[in-house]
Amino acid sequence: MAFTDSDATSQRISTSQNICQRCKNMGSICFSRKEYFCKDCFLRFIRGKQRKLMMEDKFKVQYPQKGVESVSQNVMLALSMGSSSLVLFDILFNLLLEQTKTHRGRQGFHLKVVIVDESTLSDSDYSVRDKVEELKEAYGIDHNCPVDVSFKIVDPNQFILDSDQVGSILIDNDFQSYITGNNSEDTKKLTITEILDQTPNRSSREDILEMVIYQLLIRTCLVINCQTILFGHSMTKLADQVISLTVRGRASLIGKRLTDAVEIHNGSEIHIIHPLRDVLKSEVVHYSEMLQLERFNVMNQKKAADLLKSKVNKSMTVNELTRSYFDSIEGDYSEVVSTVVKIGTKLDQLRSTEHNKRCIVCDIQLSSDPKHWLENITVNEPAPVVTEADINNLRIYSETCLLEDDASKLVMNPGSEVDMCYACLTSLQDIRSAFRWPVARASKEQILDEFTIGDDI
Amino acid sequence: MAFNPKTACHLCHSRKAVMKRPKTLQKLCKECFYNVFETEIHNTIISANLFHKGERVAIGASGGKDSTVLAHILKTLNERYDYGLELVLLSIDEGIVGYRDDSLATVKRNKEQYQMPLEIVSYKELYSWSMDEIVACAGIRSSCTYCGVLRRQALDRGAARLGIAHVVTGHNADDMAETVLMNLLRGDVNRLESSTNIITQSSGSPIKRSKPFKYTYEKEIVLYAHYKKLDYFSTECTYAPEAFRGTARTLLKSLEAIKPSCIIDIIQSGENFKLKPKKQRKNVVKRNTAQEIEVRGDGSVSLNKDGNKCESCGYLSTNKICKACILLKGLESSRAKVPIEGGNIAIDGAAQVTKKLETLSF
Ligand SMILES: [Zn+2]
Ligand SMILES: [Zn+2]
Ligand SMILES: [Zn+2]
Ligand SMILES: [Zn+2]
Repeated sequence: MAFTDSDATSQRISTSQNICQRCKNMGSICFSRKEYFCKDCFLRFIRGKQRKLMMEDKFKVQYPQKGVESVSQNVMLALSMGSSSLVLFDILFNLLLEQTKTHRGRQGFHLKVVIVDESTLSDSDYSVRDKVEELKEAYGIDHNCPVDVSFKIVDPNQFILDSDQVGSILIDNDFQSYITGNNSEDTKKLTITEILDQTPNRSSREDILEMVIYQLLIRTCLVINCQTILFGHSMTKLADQVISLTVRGRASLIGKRLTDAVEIHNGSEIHIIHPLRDVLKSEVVHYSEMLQLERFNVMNQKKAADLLKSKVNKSMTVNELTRSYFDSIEGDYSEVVSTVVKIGTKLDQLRSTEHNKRCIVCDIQLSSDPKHWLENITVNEPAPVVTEADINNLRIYSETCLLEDDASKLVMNPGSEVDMCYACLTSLQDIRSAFRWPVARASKEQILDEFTIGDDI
Repeated sequence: MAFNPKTACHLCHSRKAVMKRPKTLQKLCKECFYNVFETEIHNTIISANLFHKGERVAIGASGGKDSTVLAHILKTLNERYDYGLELVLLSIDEGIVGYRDDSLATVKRNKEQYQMPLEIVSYKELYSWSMDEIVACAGIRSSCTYCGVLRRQALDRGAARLGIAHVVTGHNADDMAETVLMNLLRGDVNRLESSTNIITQSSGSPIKRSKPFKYTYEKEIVLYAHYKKLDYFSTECTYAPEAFRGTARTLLKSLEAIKPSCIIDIIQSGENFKLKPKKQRKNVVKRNTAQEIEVRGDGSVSLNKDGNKCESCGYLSTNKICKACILLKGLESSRAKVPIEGGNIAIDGAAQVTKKLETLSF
């Protein structure tokens, strides 16, 4: 039986008279999945959903075996400071608290909370740092807290600092991308905001930013020595993602983003888990209201800042359109969210056919050859120029130096060929000039190597 | 007139740009637009190996823009690239007064314009029901479900009558993208991987179907028909699409407005959908008698061999009773009740059949 957000919200008002159906003792304060809950029973119910998705031994308290202390692992929580990740933080904190109480100070894992501070990307005055401090204060962290939990705030510009080269990416008419190197002095000056400002529209910006943040989280995970990343996405959010990734031509990521997946980065395995996969957005809201977690939420300020930023181009993004679509059909087709997540979890991670080819922008492993695919269905050849008048026009055109578009730049300085995934290719192909992008440290040698060959024309 | 390089076509840099290409937003001259439009379809045909020399191909012609442009393009490409095809127009008369009468007149003109033979098969003669009669009986709500099932079989039967094994249809990239979204939104696991297939063939059916416009934008088809002054019938079918599909269509249109590439982006995604390997599925096939039937995972029933015939109408079908017959039987039983019990029961009966049909895999 699939439960839906509307099941949860429809009778919110009239719940006070009803008795909780779980404990049959307390008065209920919320209604979800056709059941009345009191506060304690509801919190337990939602926490149970998380436990079901984190059943493995590695999250449980380990006792020394034959006198040898077992190493408990580090688990990273990607905290966006939105409602669902705050709920997941609360759940995990309480889980660890319970473990330390029942196992005399032992806990199943070390929790490392990582926040990518997107407030630095806008001119707005909201502060993620302050909110994180409030959160820590509220949970008594830093004050002899029995739970071992640490926080790390990451500046998105770290993404550029991690690399020591800024390249210029160009895409030609046949969808081949090239990169030319710049001196490393440039690297320190370029900011993520400047990178994002190069994108042709809000949707591309959103897409590229999402990729930057994801890569940053993966890199941070390795730096702080974690083996697992937890994301707080609710079922509702995951349904949005299935459609949004499909629309952006990133279907190959769906399998990875919905189910437990293994991300392999620089030879290290990172386990990705979505512990709130079975929790509805409306339940996140109930949970959050019960514990007043909304005071730590920065998403509303972030959205306002994003909109301020985009006063030139007010058109919605792919994510925003997808969200409003689900909102608009929820009433009439209430089971769509769970249906979409269910089919999403049945999708496989794509097996790479082109070994070790990764997208220069988003770093995903290429599973197909997008250049060839696009070239076949998007022709960029002109019809023959035959009449004398037209031939004359063509001459005038080339004389007036209008040929300063990508193609002619390429002729002068082709750079070296790089691989790009389908989605990044379509996101960036409308850019008239070169796209400046930091080149990851790992591929530096390879890039430098290529630069020395391709320059002589 | 003086040539202004600033308004020149993005591709040839010599002729004046007259349009913005919907797929890429490039400003193009007419000639370059024709060139890219036609070449892309040719590329699609060649890379999918759609045709072989000497093949007889039926064009599912409705008189609408998609199939009219399809007939024009196939004629053009067949001559230009020497495909060696024998092209025939195949039309279905659903029996929708007003809509179909005018569109059939268009197809008849197309027959002369393109010098192609035309074959018309009607629902009435095949099923003894016209679409108008079906709607009167079953209600307008499920009209598209009915029509889809009946048209599919009617095209097959028409082609079979002509001795043709390949029907091409005017389904375009927008239709493809919409189907991909629909399969996700409906959670249709059985169709997800195949939703973007360019060639489809139901098992047991000798008729192959293909979609040369798989990557062609609907808006570009409209523009092409407009600039080439093609004669087509532009009214939409009187019976609007099923409401839920309508929501997906609206979503797609808003997405296209902010990101024109999203239509092929969705198709690209659709081509990359890969389901996880199936867990050992319960095998319910019984081998003791040839008459035993298999119950598929989706609840549909099938005989265990290809090339079976519908027990009711004798038409090729993998199911014991073909979908058209299941649907028509429901109609017959509800029509029988109409005079005595009024319309409501009839509609309920038809709605039940529709529900039953939705669980079958087409
Ligand atoms: Zn209770
Ligand atoms: Zn990419
Ligand atoms: Zn041109
Ligand atoms: Zn039959």
